[in-house]
Amino acid sequence: MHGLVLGAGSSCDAWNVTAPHPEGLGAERAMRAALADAGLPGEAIDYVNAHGTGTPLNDGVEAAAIARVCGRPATSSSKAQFGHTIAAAGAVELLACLAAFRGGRLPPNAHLSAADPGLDLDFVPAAGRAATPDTILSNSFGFGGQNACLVLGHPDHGRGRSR
Amino acid sequence: MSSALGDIVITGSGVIAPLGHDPATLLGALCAGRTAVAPVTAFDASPFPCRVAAAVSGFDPRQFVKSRRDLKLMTPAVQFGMAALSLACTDGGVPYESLDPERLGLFVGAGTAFGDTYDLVPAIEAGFGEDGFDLHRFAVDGTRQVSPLWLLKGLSNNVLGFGSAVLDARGTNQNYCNSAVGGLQAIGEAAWALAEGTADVIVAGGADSAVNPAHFTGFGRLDMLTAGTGADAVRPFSVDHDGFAPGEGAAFFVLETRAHAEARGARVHGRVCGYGNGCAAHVLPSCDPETIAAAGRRALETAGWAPSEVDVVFAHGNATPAFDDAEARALALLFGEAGPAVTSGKAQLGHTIAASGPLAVACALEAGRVGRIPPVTGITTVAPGASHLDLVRAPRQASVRRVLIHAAGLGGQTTFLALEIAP
Repeated sequence: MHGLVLGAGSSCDAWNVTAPHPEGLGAERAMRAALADAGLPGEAIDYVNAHGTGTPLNDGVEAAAIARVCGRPATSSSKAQFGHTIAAAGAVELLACLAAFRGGRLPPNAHLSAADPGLDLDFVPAAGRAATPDTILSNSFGFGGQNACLVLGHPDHGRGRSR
Repeated sequence: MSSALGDIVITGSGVIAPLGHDPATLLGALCAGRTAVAPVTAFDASPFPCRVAAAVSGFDPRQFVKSRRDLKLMTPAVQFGMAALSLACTDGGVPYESLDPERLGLFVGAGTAFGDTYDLVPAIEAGFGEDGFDLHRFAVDGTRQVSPLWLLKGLSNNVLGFGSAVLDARGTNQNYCNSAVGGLQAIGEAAWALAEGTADVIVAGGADSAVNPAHFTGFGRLDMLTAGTGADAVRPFSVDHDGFAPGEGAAFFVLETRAHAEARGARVHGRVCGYGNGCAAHVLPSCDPETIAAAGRRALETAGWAPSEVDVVFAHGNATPAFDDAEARALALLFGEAGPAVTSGKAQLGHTIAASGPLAVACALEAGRVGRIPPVTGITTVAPGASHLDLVRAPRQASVRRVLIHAAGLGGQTTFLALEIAP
């Protein structure tokens, strides 16, 4: 087993075809739906693999939504390394999440020189960070205002593994 | 036996089709033997091997899309989709006063997104010089000719993006961009999502248009389009079938549990009882009788029906010899010798691709309401491979209660929906 799918959630911004909801309400609903499906509170998430396209608008809206749902979790985006693979993004980025379960390192924010002071999350540094997450939230958002989130668990999740 | 889906009902229908913009007009035209297959007027098709299409007529998108800016971003397929989903919600009376928008979903079957064929022509022209096409010249001089909106107009999920905003549908959503089966899959998957309690109401259906040079080129090169030029060019299950005519349109439906529908006093048009999929991707384009029959069996099993309980099959019947023969053999495998009545609308409506399954659903619901099965027109002599089928060749008065609808895709996909029409 590489990991567990603990929950899934989706939503529509029902707002604008090209711009995310300015307050990230759609993204927030999808994250909350996935967490509810998993039966976990937002604070229980150890690491967030963000949609993180690197555009100021998306990054700001997403970071604020993550903060509202999960507090201040370790967060990174794999797009600095994979690029934006569009329809494949969530699937490719799932590999980074599963690698974190196996390798005991959180995927980095590659090329992060200094975090945007307006974004208040625990951003994983460019060198990555030694840690084995028990739970991960993975975000994907699309043109059209669609949002899809997965809550993943370590293969030993729920078996009393010491963290 | 009861349906594995529980009791998921259809409470609203919306249609934009080549022969009508509401189900009653559409079925009336089909039963009157009218056909939309005619010489193409949207562009000059004279140099193409196929020169006919089934186009939507008398359609004004401004009636349904108020924002002029949004309209500029919508291809014809998206405009049809926006109209059909609005009509479905009006017909079904989506109860916005009591419905949580987060419990309203939208599932869409969408076509292959080419954007607008002509939008790239100036850029491609700019890429040409005396030495032919040059990618560098195209990138430097050509891309400046491309509208910044070009990508947005070509997105496959535009009905979902625009539609969710108009409907304020903030809940679960899916976009099936899956050849000709996407529309039926949207409806089948919506039924499952409702059965699982993922939403209270889901609007589901499909929209597509193949009436453009890109589809004429693509399907033409696959030798799937008719060379006929008359109104009877498309001949499903006929000995002289030689392909389909590209069509266009959309159909959407309001789905919910019967309990939810009854609590709000909604009229029930029918019930989605069963749903089954298969895929036989050996060779493209592919169709395999065993795989088709297996998908049909899955739909019957989900519905809890015996094959003998089916009144009518709305077949894919795309009038290509390969698909017609495979489908006819599949129906024999599914039903044995004495099968149900079989019809198909493609002779009159063309092939509306992702919209074809949803349009058949609309026709089936209306056929059940009025007790009349629309015919397969265009048959001169039934093809030998289809001689065992009870093909409906003239409109038939009949009790239409249990219906199977089949759609088949270019990648070997095959999808069945089992519908029970409300008495």
